[in-house]
Amino acid sequence: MTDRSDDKQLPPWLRGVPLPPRPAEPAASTGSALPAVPPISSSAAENIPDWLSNLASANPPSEPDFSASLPPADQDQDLPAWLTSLSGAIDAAPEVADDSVEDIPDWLRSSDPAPAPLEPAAPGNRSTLGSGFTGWLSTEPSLPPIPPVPPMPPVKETKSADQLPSWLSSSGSAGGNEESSATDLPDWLQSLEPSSDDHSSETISAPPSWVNDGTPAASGPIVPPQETLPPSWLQDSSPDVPSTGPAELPEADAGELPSWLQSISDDDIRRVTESDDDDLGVVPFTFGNDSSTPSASPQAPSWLASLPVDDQARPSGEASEWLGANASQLIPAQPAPLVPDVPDWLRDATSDDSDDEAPAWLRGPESPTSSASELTMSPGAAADVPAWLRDASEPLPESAQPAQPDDVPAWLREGGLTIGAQTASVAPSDRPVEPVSADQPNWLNTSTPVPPESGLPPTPQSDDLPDWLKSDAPIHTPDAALPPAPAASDDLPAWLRDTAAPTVDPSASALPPWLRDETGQPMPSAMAPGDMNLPTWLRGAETTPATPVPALPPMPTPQVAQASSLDWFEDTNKQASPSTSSELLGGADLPAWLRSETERPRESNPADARSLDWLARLGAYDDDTPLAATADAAPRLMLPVAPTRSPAQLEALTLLRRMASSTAPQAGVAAGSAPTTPLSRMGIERVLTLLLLILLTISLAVPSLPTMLAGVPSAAPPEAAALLEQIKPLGENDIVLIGYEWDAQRISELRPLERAVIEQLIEQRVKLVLVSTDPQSTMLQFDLRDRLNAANYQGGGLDYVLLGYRPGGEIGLRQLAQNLRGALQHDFQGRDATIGALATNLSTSEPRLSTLNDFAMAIVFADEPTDVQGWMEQIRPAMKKPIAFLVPAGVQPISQPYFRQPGIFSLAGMQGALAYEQLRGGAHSDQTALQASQLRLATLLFAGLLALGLVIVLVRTAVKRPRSQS
Amino acid sequence: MTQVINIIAVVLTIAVLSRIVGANPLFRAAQYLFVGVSLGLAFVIAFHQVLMPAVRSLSAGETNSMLLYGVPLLFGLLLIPRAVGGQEFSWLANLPLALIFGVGAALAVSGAIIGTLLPQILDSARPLGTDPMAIAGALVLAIGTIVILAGFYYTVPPQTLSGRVVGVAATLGHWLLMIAFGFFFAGTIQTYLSALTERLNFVLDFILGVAGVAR
Repeated sequence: MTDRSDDKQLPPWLRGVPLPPRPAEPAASTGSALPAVPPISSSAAENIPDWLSNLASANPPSEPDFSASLPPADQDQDLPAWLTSLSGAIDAAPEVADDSVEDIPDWLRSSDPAPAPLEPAAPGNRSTLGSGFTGWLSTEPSLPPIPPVPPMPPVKETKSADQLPSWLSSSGSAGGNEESSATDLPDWLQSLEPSSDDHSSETISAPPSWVNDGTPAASGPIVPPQETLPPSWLQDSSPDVPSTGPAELPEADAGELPSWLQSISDDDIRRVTESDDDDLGVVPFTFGNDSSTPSASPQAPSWLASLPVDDQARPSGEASEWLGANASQLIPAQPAPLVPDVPDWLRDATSDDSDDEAPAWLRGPESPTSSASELTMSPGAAADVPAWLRDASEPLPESAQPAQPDDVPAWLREGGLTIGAQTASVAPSDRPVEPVSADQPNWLNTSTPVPPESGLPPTPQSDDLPDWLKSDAPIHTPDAALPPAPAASDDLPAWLRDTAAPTVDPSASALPPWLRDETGQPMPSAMAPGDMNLPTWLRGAETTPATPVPALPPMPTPQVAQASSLDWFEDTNKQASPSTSSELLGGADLPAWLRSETERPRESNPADARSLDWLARLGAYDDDTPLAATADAAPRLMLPVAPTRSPAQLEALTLLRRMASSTAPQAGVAAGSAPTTPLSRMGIERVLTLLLLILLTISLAVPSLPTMLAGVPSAAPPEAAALLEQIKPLGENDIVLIGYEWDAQRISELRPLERAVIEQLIEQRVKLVLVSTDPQSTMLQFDLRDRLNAANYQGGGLDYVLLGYRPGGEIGLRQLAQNLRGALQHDFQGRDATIGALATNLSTSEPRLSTLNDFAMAIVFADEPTDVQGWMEQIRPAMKKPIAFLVPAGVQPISQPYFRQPGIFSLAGMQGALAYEQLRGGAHSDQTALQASQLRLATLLFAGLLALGLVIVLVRTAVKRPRSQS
Repeated sequence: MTQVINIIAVVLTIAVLSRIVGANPLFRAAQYLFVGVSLGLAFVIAFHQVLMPAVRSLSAGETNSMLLYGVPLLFGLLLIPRAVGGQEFSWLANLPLALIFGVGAALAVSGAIIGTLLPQILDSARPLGTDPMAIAGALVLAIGTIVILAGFYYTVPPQTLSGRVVGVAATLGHWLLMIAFGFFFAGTIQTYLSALTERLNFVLDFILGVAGVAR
């Protein structure tokens, strides 16, 4: 395995990335047990593309002669179209040829073996240097000798290399990456073109940021094509400054730099770059301190420096050593000491096999004997692996992973396509074969020669695919019904065809392609399931496709790649259904962040999905499940049981129905005999009442009749004498509270009483305070006011105070009892009665009326027992003075208990008024006596008629009874 | 003017007395007129005696009037939601109504205990004295009270001895109640006969006055 001791130079997420096994080394050099890759024969060498052949021609004599086996440069049929056109464009641009040195990108120039500034390359090499190569392919052999353990590459010499990964920048130092290489680059690389001609020597075509991130690069300047401009984000971030001092930096460049870069002073940059501090973990950024000769030793990363000397001494444009090893096995493996700035996975490559400069997944053919069991990752390394790579380390079933086209370059997207197709081939699905993108390098397309599935028409390939890349990437599928895969493209070099042949390990076929090498064998990062180093959510992952993935609840699609890394575990069902090309692209075994949007499962919040796990466990109910089934399962409310009726209830019910149905008997019909006489028709009651009215009227009309009854002596009631004794001593200094609590319907009795008592008080000039709690009594008070005025009583609080109506009944009485002074502040006209002489002693200004006890007595005219009760309950407790109740004759028996109390006087009815008048000797005694005699006559008539009526009823009853009996 | 009023009074009196021959529109008209006039009179009295003084005091800005009439006026306004159709704010009327009933109940209880129960209990247990009639009257009063209360004692089974005693006392109490009611009715008859006599004298005086016949 790889040595993880020096991986500090790697970004944290790359430190734990295990490297795939090294490609098979020549048996002679390594002596390993792996079968040696056969050397490329001459026929095979003919199949090598021209761009590889050109590499050979561009090699200096000191280079290994593997390049000699390459085909000549004029064999354009092997050259991809995009390379051919590029070479033609280069030839047609003499100015570029003249300035070939300047056109070399800095990151390529820096790795040039020449210590001095780059010399103009030979014109013949222009078309071959780096054409069709990426930097790491073209310039790797040209690395100059570097110290075994170089320190951190000086920052001042890594201008543009900062933007490149080390494996790119180091390999691109050949200086052969001219404009032709830029034009032949894939689309995503073509976009990284210089902005203008003026800055042609300063701009580079840096790989996308996702390639550069965290990969320190030490490369020479890259001469980009002059026609195109790199994207702005590259212009801003690419310090494409030629090897001149910072002072020589054009202002235009400074203007294009972002502000945060411009703010860096040259001194700071120089100080940092010139410092020998090895502790620098991050390569500082610099622009202009590139005046020094871009020596290979400081510019190239140390891990490149560890390459063999002869490797490094190879000129630019030479094929990489691993290519050379695969091709001719001419490069002996020479272990190189580890350097701190080399990623571990590259460090392994350099330490174990200097021939393996490329990542494993980019390497050439690998020994088919390598298996997953041999490719295990150390626990420490597994811990350092980022989550999405841990997922990769887990051998996974055929679950598909949609790709995210936005995050992945086109050629890698298509690479994912191939991978996805390969994965689909593992699963027994009918997934159609998807086209292979043209942006994908040929060695990626042909690395997995799997046949396409049967029954699926081959999908057209992309137009921008180079010819040598347009070879169908046959997808291997276990389906026997599938037609044989079409032959590989002729553009494929023979050495690639031979190495692409090995069969795929069935156990490894379950792995996602990106976890397998080109031979289909699992990569060393593919760990066995259940590894304790894996996170828990990965431990139970199945690796074999035969084991069906259990139906998992619909997992949410996290918005972060790490959280979504589990999604491709769940796409087993998706692979079972045919899908379109886009679906295939998205449904491949790609991590979630590589999936297409269409393949992405329903978006949901992870937290919500977690909260809905219990819903997912309820079963796999489809959305189309009819709700009726659920509704049928709902319990129905039972109807209440009808109550049972007892026989008695039933009988009563029958009777009720019969009565309701029968008509009501006619009144009188049942009597049998209709009233025949007028008396019987009118009724005895009405006849007697009418008789009483007539007799009374006649008795009243004849004055002699009542007079006859008036001579009958009657006993004077004792109450009248007692009341007279209470009123008689009152004088003008006494104040009597008069309560009017009677209505007009009692006027026949109360008016004589009022007249008898009030006239006596008026005669005695007794001060009066009139109050009432009854509206009608208030009106009767106003009648009294006329008599008072006639008796020269002065109002306004002098001789009498008419308080009027006091609302609230008993509450008003209580208020009067508790706050008499307050009650006197508003009379019936709202005037303040307290300022009058009645309530206040004008001579002393002292109040004469403060409480109820200041009154001489209280006389209440009440027509109801409740009135007597109210006064007795509310006034009597607060008033110790005598209280006289003048009531009708009908109230006296009811209110007799109150009248029997001490200090309580009463006078009732016409007889009481008459008695009081006779006792007092008033002027109205005769009138009162007449009224009393009339009342006595009426009473006698009433009694006689009542007796008559009783007799009539008895007679009629006595007469009817024998008839009814007979 | 007085003659017109007397004519109206005579007509209305005759209309009321027409009830003797049965229900008739004249009686109903007089009846409804009496109810309407009574309510109108009550409103006029309340308006002039209650509302106007309160508003006048409040408008004068008197400090005491704010409490004396402001709070009652506010409570009175709270009764309006109960009268209007919408019942969303009807609960507001509960405040003054609760105050009225609460205070009224408190006053009634306290007044009944002090002004009614205790005096009647004391009057029923007055000392016998030396007068035989007074002693006889006290005994009759005490026994009458007991037997009348026994008439409302229904929880004793009549088959038992105590039940039979209570039954006899209840019967006696019932008769005493009938005698008491007779007295009450006699007083009421005398009242209504007085009213009838007064009304007949009024009508006769008017008629004889119109006829020019002196009484």
